[in-house]
Amino acid sequence: MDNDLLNLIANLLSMKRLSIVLTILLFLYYKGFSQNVKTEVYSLPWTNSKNEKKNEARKKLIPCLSNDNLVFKGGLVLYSRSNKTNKYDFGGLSALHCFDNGRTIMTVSDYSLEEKLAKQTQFKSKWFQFTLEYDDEQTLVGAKGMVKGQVHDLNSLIIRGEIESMAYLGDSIVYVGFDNLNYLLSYDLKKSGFGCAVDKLSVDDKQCFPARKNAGIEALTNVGDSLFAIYEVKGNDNDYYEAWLIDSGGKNTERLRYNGFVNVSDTYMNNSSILKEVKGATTLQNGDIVILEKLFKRLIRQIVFVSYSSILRK
Amino acid sequence: MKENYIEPITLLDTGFSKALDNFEGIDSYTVDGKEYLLLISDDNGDWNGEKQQTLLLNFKLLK
Repeated sequence: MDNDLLNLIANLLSMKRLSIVLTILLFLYYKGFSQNVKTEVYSLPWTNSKNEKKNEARKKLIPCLSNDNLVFKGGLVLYSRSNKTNKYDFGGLSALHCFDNGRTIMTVSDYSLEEKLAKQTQFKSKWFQFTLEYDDEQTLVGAKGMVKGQVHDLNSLIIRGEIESMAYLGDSIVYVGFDNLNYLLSYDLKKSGFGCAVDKLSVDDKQCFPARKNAGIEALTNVGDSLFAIYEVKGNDNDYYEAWLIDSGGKNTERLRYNGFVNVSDTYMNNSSILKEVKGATTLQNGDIVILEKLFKRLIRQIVFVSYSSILRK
Repeated sequence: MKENYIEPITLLDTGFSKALDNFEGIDSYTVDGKEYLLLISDDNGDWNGEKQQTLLLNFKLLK
């Protein structure tokens, strides 16, 4: 063998070793290195964004965000500088949970797009936790100190997006709901975190679970030791939204009906081009549930907060 | 069972506005006995922020 051939073989072996090392690093990255990555979140007042027309519209809207029931206490635009290099690295935030009297929030992304990194598919299901800052009047003034990671399934594989809802039972057990899937996954944040789901909780059998594409359980909150879930859109022939009260042990699931948008005018309700979707829910200290409903047509949106735990029909 | 049905309370109806983005998440917290709501929006991959941004709004509940 001449030297050129020996060099070629050596180079090939070296490349093979390099590819093995890269594969191992990628495997470790997807299995765990991608968890608890320290980064930064940035914020601007929500009336100080790049879009001047939108800023003016937001300033005009502020008086409409307070009434006898609640008071608007500040808003932010959140962003991450890493979006310049990885456009789907931050955003798509579809659910949140507060800790520490609102000073810390955990939020998840519903991004489902995929990109290729070194010929490996990089999925987008991510969690982000960061700190919020308030002034003395509890007005929201800033965000900082973000930690992020990727959300995995029962087999420790990264979930392919479409996480739409999240609810905590106790301090460390968190459930997430999805578009198009009739089950929840749970995580123990004191053990494996979002690195591996610990349980799969069926919401309902497929006969009852609506089958509209790109819709699912978008509202999820705790009711005592159980979970209350609402499907995003009405069934085709129903005047209600499918809902469930789910025993966290998975033994009992009670099927309910959520009577949404009850105070919205018939003009909007009868207009099929205006979409009416249930987007979130939270349980207050007294057990009442506040539900986020949204009407929208193209990019013009209306949000409606609805309260009471008793808006259920059996 | 109709008897289980009670009329809900609408806490806020903003009306249609281009100022509002795609709100998808809500949670509540308590400070000094007062309850607050946080609301977060999904930018739908509009990373230039021209049409949709990641917004976080804070409300104090009065009742």
